[in-house]
Amino acid sequence: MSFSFLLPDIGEGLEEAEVVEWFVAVGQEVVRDQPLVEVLTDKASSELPSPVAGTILRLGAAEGERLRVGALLVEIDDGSGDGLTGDAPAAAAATATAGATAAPATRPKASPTARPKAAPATRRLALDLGVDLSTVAGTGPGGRITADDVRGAGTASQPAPAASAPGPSTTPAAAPLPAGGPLDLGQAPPGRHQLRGIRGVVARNMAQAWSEIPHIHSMDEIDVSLLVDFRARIRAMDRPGADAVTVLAVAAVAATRALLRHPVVNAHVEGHPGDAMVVPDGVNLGIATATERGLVVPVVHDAHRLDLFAMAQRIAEVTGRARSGQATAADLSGATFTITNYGSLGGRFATPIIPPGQGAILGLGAVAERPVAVDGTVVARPTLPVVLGADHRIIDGDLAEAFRRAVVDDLSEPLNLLVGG
Amino acid sequence: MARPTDDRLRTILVDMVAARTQAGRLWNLQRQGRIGTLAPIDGHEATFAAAAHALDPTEDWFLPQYREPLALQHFGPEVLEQYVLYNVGHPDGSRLPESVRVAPLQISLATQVPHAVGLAWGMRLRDEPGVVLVSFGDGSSSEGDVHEAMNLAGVLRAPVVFLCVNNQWAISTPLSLQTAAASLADRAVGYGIPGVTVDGNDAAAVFDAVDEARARARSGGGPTLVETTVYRLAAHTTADDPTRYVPPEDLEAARRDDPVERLAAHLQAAGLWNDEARATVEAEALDLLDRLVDRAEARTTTPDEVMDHCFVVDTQRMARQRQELLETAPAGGGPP
Repeated sequence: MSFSFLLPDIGEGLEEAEVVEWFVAVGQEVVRDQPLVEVLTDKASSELPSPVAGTILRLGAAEGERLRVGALLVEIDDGSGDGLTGDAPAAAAATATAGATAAPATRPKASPTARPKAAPATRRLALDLGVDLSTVAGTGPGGRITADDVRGAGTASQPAPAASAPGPSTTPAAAPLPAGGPLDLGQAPPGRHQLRGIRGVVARNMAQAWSEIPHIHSMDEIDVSLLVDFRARIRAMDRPGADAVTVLAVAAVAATRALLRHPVVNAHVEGHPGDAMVVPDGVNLGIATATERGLVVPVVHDAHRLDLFAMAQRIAEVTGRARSGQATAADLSGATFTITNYGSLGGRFATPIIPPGQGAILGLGAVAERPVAVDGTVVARPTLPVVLGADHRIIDGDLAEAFRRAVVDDLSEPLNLLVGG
Repeated sequence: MARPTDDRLRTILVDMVAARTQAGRLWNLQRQGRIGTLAPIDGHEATFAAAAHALDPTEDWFLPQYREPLALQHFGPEVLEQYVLYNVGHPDGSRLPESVRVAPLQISLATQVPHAVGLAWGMRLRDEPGVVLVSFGDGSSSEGDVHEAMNLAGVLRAPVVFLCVNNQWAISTPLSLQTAAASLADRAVGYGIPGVTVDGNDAAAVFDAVDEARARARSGGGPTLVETTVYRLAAHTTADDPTRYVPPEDLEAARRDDPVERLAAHLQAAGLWNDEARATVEAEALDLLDRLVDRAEARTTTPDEVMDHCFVVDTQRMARQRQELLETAPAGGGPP
């Protein structure tokens, strides 16, 4: 005697959701409306409350797994009849039946003339992956095409020939995400594409920054032999958080120290072409982060209050949330200075663009062994290329050089971090 | 004009507490897949309930947008009953008995505002004594319909109360991006009608302002724009995630000015309210809602019923759709 709680469409035309966290375990007693689980959809994360009181019999998915609307979320012994035919919402039950019995291969292919049934996010995904929706068989409720259907079709090399094959693979669980390697970047079918979502925001911000801010860039290459050793010794320490200490974290501390010494580099110009200079009361570091959805810049607030370990931990936290799409509005706002670690992609020098509302940006290249002249001899040393981009309206060349020098000093001899700024 | 008595305020508070309680349960029902998209009322209770109580449900009309119904008990139990039926997805949920002077929900923003002016003008032409109150939000106030309706109402001196409920957010658009005006009530000047801004978290102030506007309309003085300032305490709808854009400190400040707690504190000090009274109201509100949901879910609908609510005579396209529905729907009807 149990109630089957099927994943409902809690958005508007939702197809699937990811189970983020279970608040209950099998065998646990729950009351009606008690939060059971947090799920993440295209739009938001939501807590789903229990429809009935009873005992948890079975969880339909592990944390991190994706479930389609209508799939079993959780089974609860509520002492009543079978939920599918008893108290369960009839609409959801109908959905479940369709989901459970309609094997993908038996679904008729959508007629080429009919408009394919798919949610806007799915149509967008199809556009991104270059998948023609009229060639995709929908496995969702009512023949609706799901994101997994599109991904399945997208990984098939060619649309299947019309008459012979049963269509592209539509086994949702087996369909992998796009591989995500460099070869997958920069893909788009021929034609005109509106710049929407994150891409649209990035486009507007970049255009505004590039057209309004007169940039100067100052580059250097630092011998980081001591820093590499410093980091290796910290990581060997038996202290919690030691693993999170990266070159980026050390650079963040160094930049914060330099910003406190030269507050104008932490400032920004208000108005166009320039009415006022606003100097903030503290340092909020933006950390440019590449995510599946595009460039995101989560912020470590009050960086000037953090020691190296705390800085490393906060960077890991905010970039982690940004990558998993769980960044909050607060996570993404308020930066006074940005660091972009473009070297993680392998580059040596770049000329990063200053985000609107800031006055400078620090770029970090890739650490690699390069020839360095030491006492008249060329030797191989690990070096770190760094670039400072500065708004020339408020930052003169001498200030840019002084700031860059301060960062370089700390990174070439990390013992400097022990000395008050 | 007339400050409401504490007894009147207590009746308003009962409606507000019931609305807040039922909103919480409805949110859960949506998350359980039993009802559709829902716009929570949290933070708007004092404005909606007090405005309703300032009207005479036997003579005056209340035209809502889509967030109001839980607080409209003053207009009869049918309002909640049909609201539940609507949320379950039944087409009959938009049909209120003719004796209930509340219009169906409007999802399409601001369309109810011209309706209100037409309705009020018609009542005036027929020498009926009532007024029409129309409720809309700060986002709706940017719609052209609102401008046209207010302008015409001013010209005709139609007996309308324009209740602009400024909850600071049009989904994720803050008021600062909605208007450059210092207040939404300032627009009244341009239409030659009185405009007033009141604290929408203060039930007595809202009652007073609507009562005065109603008296003006009934005496031939024409329309009034009443802006009530509140703060949306919950999501825009169940399909929205406000944590992405509402500053937590703003929300925290607004919660300290919760309209329900404010009126409860006032009446508690007056000896008219206590925790026991609240618990009773909450329990009864939940019990009523549960019964209405059970009843609504037991209703079936047929393809014909879906189509019959649109036009007296089907258009060609509708006739084709009706035929398609009849061919695919289960015989004997099904769940909404």
